[in-house]
Amino acid sequence: MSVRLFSRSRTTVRGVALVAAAFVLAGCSAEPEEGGEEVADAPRETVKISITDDGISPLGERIDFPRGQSVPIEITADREGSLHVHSTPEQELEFIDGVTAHDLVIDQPGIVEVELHDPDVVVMQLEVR
Amino acid sequence: MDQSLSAHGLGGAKDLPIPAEFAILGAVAALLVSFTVLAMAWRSPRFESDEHTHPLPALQRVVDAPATRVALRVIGLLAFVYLLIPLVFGQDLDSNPVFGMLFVLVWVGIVPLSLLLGPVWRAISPFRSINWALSTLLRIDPDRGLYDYPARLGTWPAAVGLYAFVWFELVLPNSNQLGPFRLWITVYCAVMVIGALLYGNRFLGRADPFEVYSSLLAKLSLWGRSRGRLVLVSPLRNLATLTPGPGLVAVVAVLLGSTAYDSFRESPQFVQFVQGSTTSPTLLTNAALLGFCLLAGLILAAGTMATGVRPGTRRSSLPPLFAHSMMPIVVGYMVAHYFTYFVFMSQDTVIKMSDPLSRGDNWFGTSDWAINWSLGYQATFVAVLKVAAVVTGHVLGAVSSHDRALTVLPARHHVSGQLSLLVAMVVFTAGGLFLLFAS
Repeated sequence: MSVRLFSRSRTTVRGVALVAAAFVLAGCSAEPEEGGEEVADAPRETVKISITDDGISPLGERIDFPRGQSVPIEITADREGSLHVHSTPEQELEFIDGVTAHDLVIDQPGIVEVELHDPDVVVMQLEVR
Repeated sequence: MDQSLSAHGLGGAKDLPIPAEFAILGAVAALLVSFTVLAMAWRSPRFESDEHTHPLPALQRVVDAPATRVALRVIGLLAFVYLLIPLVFGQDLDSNPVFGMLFVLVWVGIVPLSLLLGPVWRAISPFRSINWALSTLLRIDPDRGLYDYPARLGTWPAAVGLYAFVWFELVLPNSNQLGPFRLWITVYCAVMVIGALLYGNRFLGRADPFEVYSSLLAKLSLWGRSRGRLVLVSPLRNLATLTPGPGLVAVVAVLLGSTAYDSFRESPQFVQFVQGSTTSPTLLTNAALLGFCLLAGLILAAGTMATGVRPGTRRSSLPPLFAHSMMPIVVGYMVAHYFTYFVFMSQDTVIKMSDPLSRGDNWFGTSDWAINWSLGYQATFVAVLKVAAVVTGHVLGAVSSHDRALTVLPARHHVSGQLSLLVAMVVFTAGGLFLLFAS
């Protein structure tokens, strides 16, 4: 460790601060590209969910969701059941063997998990804004 | 049965991630302040003497009066009994208040209470009261117990207890069902009562996870003790009086690591990874929690040990000496992570507490209250608060570690010796902000 390098020089310390700040800026500003902020005013596309023996889709993805608007949800399943929406207040989306259509409205902003309880999985996280 | 509701933790919607620019601004601010502290701050220790304290004899007479002490013990016992009612006789429903009483009122409420009032848990701990009663019956000294508490254990038992608690809350899949809940509390109570009988109140001061946590937080309050006198003291001066014993680093690492893990486990990347993996989710979540706690401990150890020392000083003695400076960071994390959760869920718990047996009772008239959700619409305010909490914690941590370095490190390493710890703190802060942004 070359820790003694900086022992006398406050200027060096300040230099280190600037360089480090630049690194943080560079590191963080690259992030938003993968975060999904671009869908702010996209049309209300149907959110499609598939629950079959072959698998569940989506499986834990984060999906942008407009607050206070009715969004069509289409559940294709090979069994009966219900999805639990951890909004405030909480909601249930029942589904049948076949295709079920719902309109989901979430009034309060936040991250809302949509979960299936048999098996226990998070189907999606709705980013409600 | 409404098992499905209770199986997945308390609460509905979670906070939105903080905007990227907030996270960046916070991290840059933390970084700049750190190095400004290092470059500009005082050059001789300021927090290590007890000169600047203000004795409060009048308040002390009230606080230390036997009547006050007994009243606090009675309050603690009543609250404990009140928790036992829904625990023992309540139903395994989401409306059972016992989950919120432990996870919200005790675990999160302990933070503001201890910061405002001092070591609250110690004053109301039902185990201290039970130990006093049993020891008096058996004619044992309640403070010392039957055996000497092994000094080298320090607060390691509390670190294990805290880990057992966060593991129970964050990893165990069905921690919100009554069965596991009863088991956890029974084991905890049994260990506390037996340990206190064997080793006296000294055991509770070092092994009760809630007491150790509360007493650590109390070191950031305005209330201190100086040679037995109650004093008003600045929080950072108070913090410097923390005794650096064995296990302190582990306690701090569990507190930091588990809070970070709690953010991390909700990120879509981790959720997708766990659900898409063929490895058992239980194994993955266990490994992640342990990994976060170990990582926090390692960063702290490396950050404090990478310095020049006086001849004869062992580097391994340094992490406990600096561990106190992590407490402001812990509090910053806690505020950022649990503020809205506490505001909503404490209301929810107080409402449910009027009906502990889920029979439609209204014991305290709170059953028909409704939760005020207005904070849920203040996303910007909440984001600003989170970043401010994390950055404030970082700044206070940096200042207190700077002050400690002036005492512990040799003069020629006063500045250079702090660099590694500052980097460690920046890692904690930037990491914490990144988790708030990404999860």
